[in-house]
Formats: sequence, structure tokens, C-alpha cells
Amino acid sequence: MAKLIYSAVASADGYVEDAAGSFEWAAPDEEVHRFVNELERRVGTYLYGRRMYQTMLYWETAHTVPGQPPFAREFTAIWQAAEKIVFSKTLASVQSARTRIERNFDPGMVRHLKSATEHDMTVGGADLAGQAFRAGLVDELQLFLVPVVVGGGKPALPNDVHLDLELLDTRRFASGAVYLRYRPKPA
Amino acid sequence: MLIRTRMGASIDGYIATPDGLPAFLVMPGFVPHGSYEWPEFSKLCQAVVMGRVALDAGLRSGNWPWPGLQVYVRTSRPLPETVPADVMVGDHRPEALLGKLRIADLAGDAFLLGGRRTLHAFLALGAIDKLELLQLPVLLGEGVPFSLPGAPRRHLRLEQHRAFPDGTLHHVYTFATGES
Repeated sequence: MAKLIYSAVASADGYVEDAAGSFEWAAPDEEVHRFVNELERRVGTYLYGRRMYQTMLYWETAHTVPGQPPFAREFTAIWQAAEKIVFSKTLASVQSARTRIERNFDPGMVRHLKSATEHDMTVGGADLAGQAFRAGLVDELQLFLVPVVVGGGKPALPNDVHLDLELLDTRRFASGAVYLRYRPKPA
Repeated sequence: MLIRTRMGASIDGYIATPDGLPAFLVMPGFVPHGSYEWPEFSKLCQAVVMGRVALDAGLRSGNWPWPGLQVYVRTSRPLPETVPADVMVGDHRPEALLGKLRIADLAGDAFLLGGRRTLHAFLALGAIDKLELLQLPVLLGEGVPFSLPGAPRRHLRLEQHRAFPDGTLHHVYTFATGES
């Protein structure tokens, strides 16, 4: 059975984007990127909201961008090989392979997917993750804490989710970024 | 003298619950002024800096929370005539309060308690030397966020990182200079 993982990058004050919508401060260096590649290699399916999907679409054609370093080319291949499900009421079509649209987030469907596959799944975007957390579907939270305070913006974690967590793992990188891995404690 | 701030925040970035209780209090077994090596931290400090709300809460508590420390208060109102501190300094201008703190030439450090407006005023002045974040293993989902809207972006350097047995993480940061 697959795990469903919510993975996010956050500033030290908890934002994935600053108030101007910028997240260039969160760009991983090579050490973090290679670590992310190893995590992502285990992922068979990405669950995205429309906005996160459109952000991640960069990787569908990233191999055509000249001068990509090897760790970025590696991530490109990993991303392109995985299945993607986009939850959107408005998206008319997809622009990547191995991708389908679902109009509603159906916890039963996601639960079935988890039981039917061995490769892990990730849910991207705080809003969609909130629905998954509230449905009790999320098995792990992985957070990359970036050493910056941005003073506001888009929260990295979903609103209205109250959950006690167990710390499973932590890793510090040379840049000062920290990887944190938690699982929900039983209610 | 270093100016240090130390705060507990949930993983989703809240330092207090919606009704204003410190996020620390959601942790089972939390002991005010006892947990997370608070005694070791407080031994470093000779002064505490706070806003008026925090001062009034301390005075009302009946159990003065900062014995032996000089107290610097950001306030536009007169300070009480009788306070349980040997030295109490007030000023509504953060830069003036900071100046008075520097002139005091403390042998120890100053603990910037908060609240948020005082914290961010000192942040905007570039006056915080160390930011200690105790990241509690809980999602609160709502509450008082760490950040104030419009607070300046500041890059940090991670100096220390460790985990307490209950899963709380202790990150100690300094502020990078010349970056925004």
C-alpha cells in the first residue's frame, strides 16, 4: 500500500510564497536538489491542484532548456515518469504526459489509489493537502525549512487542520535549509 | 550584549492559539520557564524587552515573570510607579528604546520577548542578533502567526539545529547582513 505524503517548502515563518507571489528564495541548491531527487524517485503519482500543476509543468519540457545541471536533468526524468492527477473544476486540458483531470477531490478514490499501488503518492499545494489531511489520508508530512523570513504570503501548510505530529527524521543542509519528516499521531 | 528572541511556533507558523494562549501550551508536559532548556537560556540574559501588552500581563499575573532582569518596554504611556524590577525603561520609539538598551552596556544579553509589533520593529531595525525558533510538532490550523504583514524579508543563517525528545525542534538563526 502506498503512502500519501504532503511535501512542501516553507520559509522559517511558514510561507511557500511571499506576499509578492515570489518563491525564488526557496530555490534548492545542488545538495538539497539531489536529496529531493532521491525522495521523489519513490513517488509514483503526484496529486496536484490546478495552480501547482501549472507551476510544475515546467518540468515537462525542462529537458529542452539549455545548460540544465545534471541534478535538474535527473529530476526532470523522475517527474516525467510519474503519473499526475490534477484536481480542477476549470482546467480544460493537460499539457503533460501521464496526466488526467479529476473535477472533484474524492477521498474514496484517493484511498483506493493508495491501496492499489506500491509507489508512494504526494499531494501538492496547501489547499488540496488540507482536503487530504481532513479526510485522514495523509501519512507523512515532509517540510523543507528555508532560512529566510518573508513576512507574509501564501501559507505552506493548510488552514483549519489541527493535528499532533510525530517527528520521524530531520536533516540539516549546508545552506541552512532543514528537512523535516513527520507522521500524524493517532487521534 | 546580544539581543536574542526565542519563540515557540507550530509547524504551520502560529505562535499563539486564536484566543492568544502561547503555542507552547498545547505541548503535553510543557512547563513554563522550565521546558526546552529555558533555564539555560535565561541565565544568558540580563534584560528583557517587550511591548506594553506583555508588561501589563506580567504585572497582572501576580507572579512577576522576569525577576532579576532589567525591563525595557515599548510604550507611549507612563510606566507604573511601582514595579518589581530594579531598572525599567520605557519609550514608544523602537530606535530610542534600542539606544537606551545599548547605552546600558549590559554584561549579559537582552531577551526580546515580543509581542509581534515590538519583535518586528526590532527586526526592521536589524537589531536582533539571534532568533531561536522552537518548532512544535503540531499543526494548529489557526491562531496568531509569527509574521506581521509587510514585515521585511530577511535571510538567516542556521547556527544550531537539534531535536528535543518530544519532537520539538530548536533552530538558532542569526540574520544575514546585506541581503533582502
